[in-house]
Amino acid sequence: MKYTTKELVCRWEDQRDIKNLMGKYSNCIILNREHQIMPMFWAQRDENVCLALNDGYYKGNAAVEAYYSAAYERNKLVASLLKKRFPGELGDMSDEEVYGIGPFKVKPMACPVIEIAEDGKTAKGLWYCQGAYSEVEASGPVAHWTWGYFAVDFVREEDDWKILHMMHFNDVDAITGQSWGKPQAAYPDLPEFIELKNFEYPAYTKTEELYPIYTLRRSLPKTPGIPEPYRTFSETFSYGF
Amino acid sequence: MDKISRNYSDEELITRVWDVENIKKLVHKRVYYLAEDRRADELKELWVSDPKHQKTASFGRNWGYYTGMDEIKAYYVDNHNTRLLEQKELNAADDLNVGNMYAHPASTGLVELAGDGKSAKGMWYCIAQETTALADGTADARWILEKVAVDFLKEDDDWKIWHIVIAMDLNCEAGEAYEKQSVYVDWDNDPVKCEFGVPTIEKLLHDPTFNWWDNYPFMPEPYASFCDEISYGPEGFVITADKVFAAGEGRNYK
Repeated sequence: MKYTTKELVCRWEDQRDIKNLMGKYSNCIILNREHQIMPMFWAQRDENVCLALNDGYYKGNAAVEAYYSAAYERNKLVASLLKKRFPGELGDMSDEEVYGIGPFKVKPMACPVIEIAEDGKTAKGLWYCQGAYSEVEASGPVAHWTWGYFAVDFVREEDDWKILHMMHFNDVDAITGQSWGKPQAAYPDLPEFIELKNFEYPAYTKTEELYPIYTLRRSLPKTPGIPEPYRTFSETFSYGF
Repeated sequence: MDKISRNYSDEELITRVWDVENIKKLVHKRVYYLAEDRRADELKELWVSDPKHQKTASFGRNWGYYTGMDEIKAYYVDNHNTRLLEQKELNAADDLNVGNMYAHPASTGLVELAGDGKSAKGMWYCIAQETTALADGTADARWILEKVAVDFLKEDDDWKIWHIVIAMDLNCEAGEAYEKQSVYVDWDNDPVKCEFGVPTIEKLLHDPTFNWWDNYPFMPEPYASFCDEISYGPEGFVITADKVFAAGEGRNYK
């Protein structure tokens, strides 16, 4: 495909906007603003939006929104438990003020391979994420390495790029300070955080092992496909289900 | 080197912008090929294909260079596959690479496109990890910190890898404290060195004992057109002039 100079500049700006979108997505997770992710970054006009994790996927706006809302509710629960645990430090603060205390989820986006469709209506991107999260669990605060992939289909709505499909697959989810190649030693539960054991995310639209997490018996999996140049979305593969 | 021209037309400028984007994309694609251990595909699809360029292609690590695509393939693909077959038998695994994992995400990209637009040089840093399944039912999981320097050539309209140097700064077992690492690397048992084998040109390129002054591979600088003295191939190797080497303090220096 031969583009004019102006078209090449526009396509470069499209690529930059897509990188910025994923940078903002990552920042919202760091800031524990999962409840803002759906309206800010996901397509609103397409009912086929899909968020896939290692063990299943959420399909449709309501299902994807429910997942992010659950993450928000969990953050609230963690904050309330920490407030009880540390009454001297947090006891006088409102629920709004303590919201966000506890979880620290880092999802840096690296190694982008982005392809914008020739027709300019959609785009695809693949990122490697060498991430980590420190989360309050039933055993208290625990830090994990999480390395894996974000693979995303984007669609243009008005002048903005939005997420249509996202795969967030982890290769590793392992406690830091221990080798992921040896049996990991879990920490004992603590009574003040035991309530978190009962917390559940909404059931997937479909539960299915989409990407196996690392174990000693795992065969080397295929990464989500690397985007290749394409003319229009119907002529390429999809990151959706 | 010729003086670098900065007088580009709009069309030339946007072409140069996309050249840099496509070079970064090429290196990022290599990350995903590595994750799937698609080494043969990497050489076929991401490296130079012109026979003249293949003859002068090189793959360097801390201990020297393999030169020419045949030598590179023998090390990078054939020897690697032999080792995987041995591992599979030793571990009584059903398939190659069971329990193995490769992650070499490239960050901090730095690309200099030649003034003539025919070649480019780039440098990245990887906080990588490799995991190798062992026969005892555990795995050797390692952090590997490495600098990756690459010369690129444009073949037809596509950018391709021509020379690569992967200079390891640190290789340590996951879950072990840094302060317990040996100051001097035990290269006789270093898994990355063992895998690298005996290269076409055996030479210490980068000594991790003295990372802070061992500036090889050197950072790319703006340039007009490619020449041997700036190459990441063996012809461009420069011994880091340094008081520590001169004083003979670099134990691993040869």
